[in-house]
Amino acid sequence: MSTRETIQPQQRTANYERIGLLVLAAVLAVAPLVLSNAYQLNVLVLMAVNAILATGLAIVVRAGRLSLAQASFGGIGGYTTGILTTTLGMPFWLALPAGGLLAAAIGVLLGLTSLRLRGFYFAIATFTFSQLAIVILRAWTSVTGGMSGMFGLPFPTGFLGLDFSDPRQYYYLVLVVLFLAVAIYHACSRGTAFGRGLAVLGEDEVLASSLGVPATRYRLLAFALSSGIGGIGGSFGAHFIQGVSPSDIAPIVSVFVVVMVLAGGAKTLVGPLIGAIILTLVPELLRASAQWSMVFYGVFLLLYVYLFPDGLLPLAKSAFRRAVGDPPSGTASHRELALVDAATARAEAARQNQAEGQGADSTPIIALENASCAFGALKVLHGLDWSVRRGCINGLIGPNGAGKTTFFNVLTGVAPVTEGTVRWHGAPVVPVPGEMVRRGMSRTFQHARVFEDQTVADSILLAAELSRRAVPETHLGWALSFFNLTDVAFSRGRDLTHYQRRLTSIAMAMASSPELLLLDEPLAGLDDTETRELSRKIAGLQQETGNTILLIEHKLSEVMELCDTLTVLDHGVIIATGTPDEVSRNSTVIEAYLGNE
Amino acid sequence: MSDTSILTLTNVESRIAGALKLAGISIEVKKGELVSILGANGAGKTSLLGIIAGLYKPSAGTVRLEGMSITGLPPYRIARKGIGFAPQNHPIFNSLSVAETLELGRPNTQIDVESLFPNIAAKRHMRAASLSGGERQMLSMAIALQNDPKICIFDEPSSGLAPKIVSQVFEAIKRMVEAGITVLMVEQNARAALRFADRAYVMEHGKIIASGLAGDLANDDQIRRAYLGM
Amino acid sequence: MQLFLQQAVNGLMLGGMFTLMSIGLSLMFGVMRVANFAYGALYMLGGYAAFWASNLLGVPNSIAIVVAFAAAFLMGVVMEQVGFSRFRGNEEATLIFGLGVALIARGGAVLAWGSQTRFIPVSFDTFRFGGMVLPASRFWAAVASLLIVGLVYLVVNRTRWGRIIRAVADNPERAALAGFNTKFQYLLTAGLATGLAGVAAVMLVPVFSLSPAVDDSALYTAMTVVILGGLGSIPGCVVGGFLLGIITAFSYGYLPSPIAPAVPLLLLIVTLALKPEGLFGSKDRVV
Repeated sequence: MSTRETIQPQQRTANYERIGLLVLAAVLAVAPLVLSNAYQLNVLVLMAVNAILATGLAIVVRAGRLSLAQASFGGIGGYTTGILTTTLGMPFWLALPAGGLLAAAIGVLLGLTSLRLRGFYFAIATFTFSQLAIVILRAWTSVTGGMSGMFGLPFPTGFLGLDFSDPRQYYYLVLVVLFLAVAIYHACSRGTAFGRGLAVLGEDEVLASSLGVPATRYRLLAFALSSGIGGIGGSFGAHFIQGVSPSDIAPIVSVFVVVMVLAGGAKTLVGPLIGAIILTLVPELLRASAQWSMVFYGVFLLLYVYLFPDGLLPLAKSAFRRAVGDPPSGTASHRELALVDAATARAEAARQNQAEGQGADSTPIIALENASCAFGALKVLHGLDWSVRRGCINGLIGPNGAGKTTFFNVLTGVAPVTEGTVRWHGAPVVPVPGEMVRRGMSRTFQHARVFEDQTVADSILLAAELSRRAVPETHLGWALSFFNLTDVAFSRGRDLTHYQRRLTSIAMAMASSPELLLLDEPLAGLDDTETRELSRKIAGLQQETGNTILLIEHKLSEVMELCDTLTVLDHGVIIATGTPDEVSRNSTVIEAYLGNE
Repeated sequence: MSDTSILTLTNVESRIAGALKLAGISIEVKKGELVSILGANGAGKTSLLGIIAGLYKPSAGTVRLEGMSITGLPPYRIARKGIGFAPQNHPIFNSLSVAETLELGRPNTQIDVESLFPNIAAKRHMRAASLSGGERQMLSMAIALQNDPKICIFDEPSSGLAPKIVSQVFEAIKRMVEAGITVLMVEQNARAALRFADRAYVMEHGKIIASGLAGDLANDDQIRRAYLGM
Repeated sequence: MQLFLQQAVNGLMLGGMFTLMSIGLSLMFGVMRVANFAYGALYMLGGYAAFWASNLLGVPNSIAIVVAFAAAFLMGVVMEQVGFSRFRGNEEATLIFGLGVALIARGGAVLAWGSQTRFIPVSFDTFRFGGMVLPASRFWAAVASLLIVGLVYLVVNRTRWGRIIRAVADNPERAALAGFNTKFQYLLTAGLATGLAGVAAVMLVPVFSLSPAVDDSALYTAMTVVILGGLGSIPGCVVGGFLLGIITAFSYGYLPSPIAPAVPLLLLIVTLALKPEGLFGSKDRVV
């Protein structure tokens, strides 16, 4: 992993982050010595509880969903431990895990909706959920105390001579929990496979899945962690004020937590924490009434969205960097690449070995048997029998709307196989997007998808890491030189030309060393020079790696030259297969697709 | 074909973040002509059309429509002055039906759009979202033809379409010109573009490096090999 | 049976009112694709505009409607100009901007006018059919709602202007290239949509009363109706409104009152989970 470290342009930033975190920890640790009266200690505990909720929420935000229900999970935790400790007389430390687990379980249920919903829709679903939670808590009077809530919750039992009825000691207890929460949040960052998966899921779900990220599992895990942390935080909050009521979980409280996360900086480690500190302390320092606080939060949201849409922390960071004259991240020196280039030779050897290993086996890598695909009443593919020819370039052509992209989606598991079978190396499989990458099949998309916010080098490394099939650094060196991407290795996706995006997307698809590579209109939108160059690269790719390629393409003269075998699709039916020559003379194909020019 | 000048670009220049993207572009399209702009990706063809349509402002130079400057006007005012534009990748209004799209503006009086594009006329009651790529392109050209524009501008009308559809699209453009409509188009398919066009400009790196009658350019070996990939 | 009929009638009237409350959001969220989280706040402010107009100035309700429409129209135009137009295509920023405005409006309303509940004086006349009672204010609100919704439907689906705003919402750049002033159309639609929230507030305040806290319930009622019916579909909005009205009336009629509010919420969550495109929406408009 050492190469990864050197190539990471954010390394210096990571150091600052670590120093920042230490300073922050020190400040939080001495805070009760300065803010020492009872009221101030109350505010500090409240602040730490908010910081736990915000840190938990940030995990879901990182996965690309904005939830308006984090306070509800706090409430679920608070009510659960409240009921268990008072009504059932259970010790707090036994009740606490129950509160966290229940919140996590309900979080997973809510997370299930996120598999289909995003953006506004998900926000509305969580908003509705938080209203529903209030209605239930209010209605279930016998257990929850209804409108007025529960009171008389006990302080956590002390141990090792600690007494948590002392607000200062309670504060340190909550602080420890907060740092555990930050540690968990840290484990959800780029340093782990899970964290990398979450980050790319947040950026581009379709692309992430195509690179092998188990989207469903990761997203549900993110929800479990996020709401579990929320539940634990809520318990500590409730047992501090020794009560919990429906007003603690009003949607507006959840909105406040969202403000903390976003305003602090959702993509940073301590941003949510900073947001919680500022947004808890400032209204209290101003001794603001509830309605003034609301106005304050509102104004803060507007400031956030207009002035610092990345959050306060990144804003402060760039100001600091300007002050010390440090170059901004993202322009790392190119010296590291030399290091990587040395790996190219090794990569090449590995690839040749792989190529020799294949070829003996005559079972097709992938085949369709009487496979159909329908969306509701609309049948797109009709009983296809097809198999890919190993070790050569297979073309799939046909008029627009013939079902070519659906054909790809069926192979990759994005579209359902409603009838018939898909066989992978002879064995029937139900393709699932993330899994097919692990099996050895990857794809590109019609609209060259890349990660807009990641550099080319990072995207390729990420793709290799996510697939877990290749050594990332080895692949990076090979891919940058093979696709002539060295000059733009440190450019972000959004700054690339169309052709560079196309090349990067193919380099990313190749990062899993696929046995079978699917290319969806690789030549679309390229000019004649680029078209010729990429055609040569595709042919070279096949020769060099010995893998099998299936491509959809409209540019016929290139298809005829490039492909060894062609399949023609029209209205969801295969109307011809054969060599390019055979296909171009086929009268059905001329009628349906080529025209009489 | 008369000599009235419809669209005139004089020394149009465009800088993005200081870098020169287009330099000293001068182009003229006369009434009734079909003029083609050719060149590699990144040569600046689409930027140039964007400037004509008002999507970007030129840093220098003027764009005139029938002698009146339209430089720097917002797109909708340029469109109202008489430029019908069908952008790249055939964007249309997905949530409208085909009929509603055809009724957004006044129908063209020079050519009957429904007979020009029988495919889409047959799908009047379908939602535009359900059209195929070729049909989307035709509907986009139909939008451009609304309100009798003085000139129609098509950006890569054939891109991403099946060969059979490409010839239908070019056929339709030919019929528009025969009906007296002035057309400026950017096209990647240099061979087809030169076959249909009266005149053509060849762009490279933001400059016009050759221009002339389409037939002459098509027969100029040097240009063919160096710039047109033919 | 008596209860059933009474609740059915109540549900229909409620449905009409819910539809009215949602039509502005349907126009904005459904047609223009702007999810205005300040919609409830604008409804609330429209209600206050009408309340002060009728209480302080003593103007008749018909003038109060004009005042509320104008006030809300203006706020909609301002929000579009300074906010939504900047954040177009950025769902998160749009959402946050709306939430920010809603928080300021709600806090500001409490500071300015207090948190007590206000009533607009209204006739307590009732109509009676058989054994059923129809309060006149509810009845007229429901009727007016249908008229307004019908009008909006005709404008959006049957007029050239309606086609234009749908085209603009669909693809602003393409619409501009076809000669439509997209900025103006957005401003007009945003003003009209929030103006309708103001009108709804005037008609509904006599029924639901008014306080700074109505913004939440108005927002979520309108969101529920629009999502139930399906984005971009005004008939869907009517069906969603009546469905929610009838379900609400029957849950309050037959279930213990603390549990009744859960039913519409569950309905929305189930719809979102199973059929997020709504009853009348088409799938491609959702994701």
